[in-house]
Order: sequence, then structure tokens, then C-alpha cells
Amino acid sequence: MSEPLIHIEAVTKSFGSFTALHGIDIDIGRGEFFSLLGASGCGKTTLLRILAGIEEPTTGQLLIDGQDMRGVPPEKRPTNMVFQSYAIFPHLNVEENIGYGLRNLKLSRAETRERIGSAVELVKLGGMEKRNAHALSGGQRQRVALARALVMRPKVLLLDEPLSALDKKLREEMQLELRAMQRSLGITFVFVTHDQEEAMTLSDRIAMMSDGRILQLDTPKGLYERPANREVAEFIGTMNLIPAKAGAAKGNQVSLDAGALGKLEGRVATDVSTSGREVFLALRPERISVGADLGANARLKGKIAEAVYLGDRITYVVAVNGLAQPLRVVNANETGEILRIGAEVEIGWPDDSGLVLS
Amino acid sequence: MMKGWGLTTYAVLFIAFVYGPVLILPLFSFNDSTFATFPLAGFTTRHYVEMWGQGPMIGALVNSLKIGLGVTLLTTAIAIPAAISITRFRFPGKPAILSMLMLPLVVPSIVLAVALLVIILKFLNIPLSLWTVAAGHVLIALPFCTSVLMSRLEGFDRSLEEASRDLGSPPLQTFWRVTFPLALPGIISSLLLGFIISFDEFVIAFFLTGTDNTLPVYLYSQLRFPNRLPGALALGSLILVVSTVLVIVSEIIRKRGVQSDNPGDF
Ligand SMILES: Nc1ncnc2c1ncn2[C@@H]1O[C@H](COP(=O)(O)OP(=O)(O)OP(=O)(O)O)[C@@H](O)[C@H]1O
Ligand SMILES: [Mg+2]
Repeated sequence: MSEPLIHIEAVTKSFGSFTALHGIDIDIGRGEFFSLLGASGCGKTTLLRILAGIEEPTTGQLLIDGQDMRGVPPEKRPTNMVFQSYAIFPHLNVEENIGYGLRNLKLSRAETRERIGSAVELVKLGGMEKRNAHALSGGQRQRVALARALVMRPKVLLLDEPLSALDKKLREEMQLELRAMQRSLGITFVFVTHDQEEAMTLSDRIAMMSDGRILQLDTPKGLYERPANREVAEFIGTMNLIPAKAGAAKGNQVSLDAGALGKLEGRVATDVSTSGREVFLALRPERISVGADLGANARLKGKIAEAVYLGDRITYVVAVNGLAQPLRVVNANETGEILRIGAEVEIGWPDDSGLVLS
Repeated sequence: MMKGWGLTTYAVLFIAFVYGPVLILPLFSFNDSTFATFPLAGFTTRHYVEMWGQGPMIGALVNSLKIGLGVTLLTTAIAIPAAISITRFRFPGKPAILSMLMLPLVVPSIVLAVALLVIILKFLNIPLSLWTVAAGHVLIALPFCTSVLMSRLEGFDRSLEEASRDLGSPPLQTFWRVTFPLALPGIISSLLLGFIISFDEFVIAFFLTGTDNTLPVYLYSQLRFPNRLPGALALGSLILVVSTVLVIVSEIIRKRGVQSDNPGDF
């Protein structure tokens, strides 16, 4: 990455004796769509508020566009925020809400009108300019909040779960619109969400957070394919975990002793030695195949406990002797055949699909 | 059904009991007699005309209006920053400061009046006047005005002010563009409340006033003279009408405020 637009270094935040953020380090590039992902209460909003200048970090440093932001109040920062509650001004109409910040930019009247006009168009609120704030639906409020921030042409747009109040259909529509908007405007987005699918859909990179720390900072593909630990693996999509004891490593392949299940092999993502430790072999449901006879590819034997036909794919729950958690398997529906519940099956997966996690 | 009847009867009796005596006032103010007794003697509006001839009473009314206006403006001006700091900021000693602010609510006004009298005469050596009455009224009105404003300020989303800052408005501008308009119904309630508290206050005014009287103190001193009563009744009725109108107007403003300010309806 060339010079990052946002540089967050060792930022901590304490509220009294409670520490909401423990040493956060993130660099965000120009024009990037960056997401903060994590369960409720992990500190996403707090970090976003620090970027906006509404909260000051307890320790650590924040640079935006090379400038130290310490002591710079929110009104002087090149950031604008879409609040979790939208924070639409109830005493102003749509147009006045969108134009709220423009007064501070000291633009000509024509330019002000021009910007409001194009923002209204961008978020498809044409014809509602005079509508009162309290006469808006959730989706319309969300658009007003977005337009109100975008008219400011910030270097960084901060979005705090802007889609969580919308129903599924509208949310998916808005996701596509947001992504398209971000590409065409070239603004850097820092997007907060607790929805992993949303983060995967939208982001260039994602910081996966838990309890005020970053567990992993990676591309959506990286998070899914190379989760750094069990917590990430289980938060992003579904992951089967087979407990095992790590043995000798050959390159990045580690031999595993899975007790009653016998000898298995897995790949380590990092070159940290796992030898002798209790680990998990992690397998994504769609990488596992089940069948009556897999021949040389068979690694385990099991019994179909549940089979669900979903049209384009079939999901199985497969009980394996010696494994407390049954395996979850998703197979593409290639033949229209479905294995019966109770059928004895063989279970296999390609060599490099098994990941060793601690 | 029975229960409905019971409640209705109760409500009617309740209203009659509370407002009946008040309605006696306008009734006798139109009665063509000097004495406020039944049977009624006939309809007249002469008390309303004569009232204006009672110079001292009108003077007392003007005093009360002046004090009420000054008190409510000053009290609300003090209460606004107090309510903002209490609802918006964390600072050491906040609970203590809040209870000190609310204390005049529970201290009997006779105790306050005597204490103020001693302080003003013995320690400050200020002669008693309408100014000292006004100062006492500010003290008792402050907790009421502050609580009205606080409940209003607590009622709206803090992120509105943060959004304003985020959109480039420094604190003072944020106050005028967001906090003030949203708190306006509360400010109006506070102004009305402060005025009414001062206008009908008796004990403190009685103790702290000099040679000038406020209306309640004047009316009390005139009860001995029956011929002054009809004028007092007429004035009382007028005040009743004006305050009813004021309360209705403030309720309308408050209702509007509530409606437009639930930004959520989420
Ligand atoms: N002003 C504050 N005072 C004390 N604790 C706070 C304050 N603000 C946040 N916290 C705490 O910090 C933690 C992180 O809060 P934050 O709002 O950042 O979570 P979040 O990840 O945005 O959660 P959500 O998904 O529910 O919005 C929470 O435990 C919260 O209770
Ligand atoms: Mg949050």
C-alpha cells in the first residue's frame, strides 16, 4: 500500500475502568472499502467515533491524510459519519437535512443548490425534498443520512451499521448501491457491521474484531480461506472443527492424531510451530464430499443424520463415530440424487482443504 | 359498564370540586352587588370598569407582571446551561450539584423567606424592595425550570448534536441550530412556569418586599375592605382567562414539540 489515508496506531480507549479498545493498529488506503466486523459490544462504534473525533483515544495515534488528529474536533476533520440511529434532524425537512453541513463550507448559493440536487438524485429521494423528517420510512431516513454526509465530499465516509434497520430485500439493494456509489465517487469508506455476509459482499478488506481487539485483518477471501484462529473461523461462515493433536510438520503440512478417527493431515497458514499442541482441523462444509464409495479419497466414515434439499445445493449433517459435533456438509446438486437419512457414507476432502487452527 | 359509570361520576365530582371554587370568581365579578353573597343581584360589567380606577391594585398588578417577566427570563437563562451540563456532561460532584439545585423544591418557603430576610438585612445590608422579591423568586423557580428543561433535553437523541458537529458546526453553532430549536418547547414551558411561580407567590413576596406590593400581597392586605372586593374579583377573573389561554397555548406547543421530536418513530 502506498501512503495510507488513515493510520491508526496502538489506539486504546477506556471508559473509567472498562477498556473498550486494546491497542488497535490499522492502515486504510485511499479509496478503500474497509469494514469493521464483530459481535455487538466489541468496540466497532467506539473506533468509528474516534475516527470522527467524537471520542478521543485514551492512548495511541491517529493520522488522517498524514495529519495528526489529536485535539482536532469533529467539525474540523475530513470525515463524515452516517450514524447508527441516522440522527436525522427532526425539525428540518429532507432538503434542509441534506444541506445542513454545506452552510459551513461557505459555498456559493448556486453550488449549494447544485450539490443538494445531485445528492438527492444520487440517493433517489427526488420529489421528497420538502418532506418532513418524521414522515420518512427507515430506508428513506437512511438515504437522507447518507446524502447529508456525502454532500460534504469527505475524504472518509464513516458508516455505522447503516443497513441494519432495513428489511432484507431493501438491505441487499442498498448494499449494491453503496458499493457502486463508493466505486464511482472514489471516497474511502469505513463501514461498521456485525453481519459477516454484508462485510464480505461489500469490503475490500475487513478487520474482524472481538472484545476491543483485532483478531484478523484481511480480504474477505483471506478471512474465509485462511482464518487466523477458531473464533474468526466460526464467525465467518460455517466451519467444521475436528479436535486433534498436532504432530510433525513437513513444510506447511502437519500430521495430526485425531484419536479414534486416526491419522489426518492439515495445512498451517502461519509458520508458527503447532507440534505437540491440541489443535483443530478446520473444514468448510462445501469442501467436504460425501458418498457411498469415495474410493481412495475416503478419509472418514459416517452416517447421514439429516439431509436438506435446497435446490441448487444439498446440505447434510453427518454423524461420525468418535466426533462429538456432527459434520456439516454442503454439496452442489449435480445429479439430483440425495443420500437417504441413515445411509452409511464415506467422507473425503481435497488435500489442501483442511486447515490447522489453534 | 358499572365501572365506567363510577369513573365518570368520580371525574365529574373531582372537576367540580377543584374548579367550582375558581368559577365563583367570574360569577361574582359580574354580580351587581358589592358583597359576594347569594342570591345574585343582577348582571353588570361595572366592576371591570371600576377596577381600573383602583390605582394601588393596578400598580401591584404591574409590579407582579414586571417581577414575573424578569424572574422567568433570568431563571430560564440560568436553567438552560445548567440543564445542558447536567444532561450532557460528566463532571465530578454532579449528583451533589443536582441535589443542591433541587433543594428549594423541598424547603418550605416560609423557611426560605425567613432565611433570605436575615441574609439580606443582616449580612448583605440591602434594603428590601421588588428586587429582593425577584431574587427570592429566582431561587424557588430555578428547580422547576431546570427540571422542565432537563426532561426535554434528555428526551432527544444525543447523536443529533454529534451529527451537527460532524457536519462542521462548532459547539455554539450546534447549540443554535440543533439544541435550541429542539429544546424550544421546553424553553417555552420553562418561561411560562417561571412566570406563573413568581406571579402567584405569596410568602417570599410578603417577607422580602419593601414599600411596593406584588398583587397577591396587595390583595391579601385589602381583604379587610369589602368595597374593594368586586374589583379584585374582576381582576382575578381576567387573570384566570389569560392564564387559561396561556396554558392551552403552551400545551399546544408542547404537543407539537413531542410530535416533531420523536425522530425515531422507530
Ligand atoms: N460512553 C461509554 N461509557 C462506558 N462504556 C461505553 C461507552 N461507550 C461504549 N461503551 C462500551 O464499550 C463497548 C463497545 O461499545 P461499542 O458501542 O463500540 O460497541 P459496538 O461494537 O458498536 O456494538 P453494537 O454492534 O452493539 O453497536 C461496550 O461494552 C460498551 O458498553
Ligand atoms: Mg455500534
